[in-house]
Amino acid sequence: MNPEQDQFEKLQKLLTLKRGEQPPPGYFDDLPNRILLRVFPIQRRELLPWWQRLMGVFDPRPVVLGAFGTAVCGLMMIGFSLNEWRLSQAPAEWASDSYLLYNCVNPTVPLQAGIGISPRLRGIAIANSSTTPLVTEYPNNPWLEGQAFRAQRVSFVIPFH
Amino acid sequence: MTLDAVTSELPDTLIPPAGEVQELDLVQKAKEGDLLAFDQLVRRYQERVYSTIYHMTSNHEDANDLVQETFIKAFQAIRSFKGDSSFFTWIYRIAVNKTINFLKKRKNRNHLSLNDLDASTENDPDLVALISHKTPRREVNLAELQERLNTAMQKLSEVHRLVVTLHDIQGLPHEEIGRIMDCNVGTVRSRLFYARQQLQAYLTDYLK
Repeated sequence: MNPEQDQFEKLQKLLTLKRGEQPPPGYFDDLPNRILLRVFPIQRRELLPWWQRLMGVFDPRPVVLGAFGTAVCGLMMIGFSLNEWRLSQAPAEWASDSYLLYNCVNPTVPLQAGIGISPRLRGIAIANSSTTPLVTEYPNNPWLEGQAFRAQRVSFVIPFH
Repeated sequence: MTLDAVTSELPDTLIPPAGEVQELDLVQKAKEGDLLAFDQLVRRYQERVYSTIYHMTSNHEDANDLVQETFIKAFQAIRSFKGDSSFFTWIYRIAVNKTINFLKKRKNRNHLSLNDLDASTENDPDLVALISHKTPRREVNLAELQERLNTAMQKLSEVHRLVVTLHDIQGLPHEEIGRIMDCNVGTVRSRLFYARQQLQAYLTDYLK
């Protein structure tokens, strides 16, 4: 017999030794039960509605839930801070608009003649007399529907130059 | 018309063997969430799946974890099983992919935890003949040989170890191995040839 063929046959005999390696007795009797015990909760979870499944993701992971809550709070704080910063950096024109609108609902705050009225709002101011509200509603805004701007009569005429 | 009447009119080649019909039936029931049907499938393939994973890892605890994960993954994905291949090939693919991924992560932690040899192997005349001329202390030598063989297997790359496991240990044909490994028969043959050469080199003391 050629030596290569002989070595190959011996190797195959050696590999039969691997076939004899068996797990502990009774292992295969028990394995299906262990698998079913792990499969059963998965099947139950699949039958739940989506929102319960979503909550189930956080159930065994309080740390993840805490991290998620912290992240949401953090994002909100960043949002507020950015908004504050943006307003502080905004051009004076924006501030005058706010001032004018604020004055509509708080007529006790005196409006100084010609100061602080942006060119954008001048047309509206002219079209409205002191007895008609400057802004009474938010047109085409479904979010604020039914929440009309609280308009009060003002006791002065806005002067323009 | 009854099912028997319909099948009796079909040519033999179109009718799957009885075992296969039963398997398709079990798969269909498992898809519908029947745990008893899935249990039957587990019992049918657990030994072969375990054996493949064990020979790949040479570690009983790892094989135990991986075989459970394989069947759990199979349960979760069974609705996606379209029957393009046999269920046996499909579940083997899951086991093989899981094992190869595991071995890549484990790369630097090769701890052997070998199963005991069964009595029939210990008394195998060919094996006895192979060992007894090396040393009179057969029992000691058998355990040593088992460890040496497993260490040699672990030195092979994952794909080469897999072809040796599936062909030389489990006795699967080249075509089936090709389907499991998603490669052609020529590739399977060349990998097998290379893997055997490597093993012969590692085990040269025992093959003289």
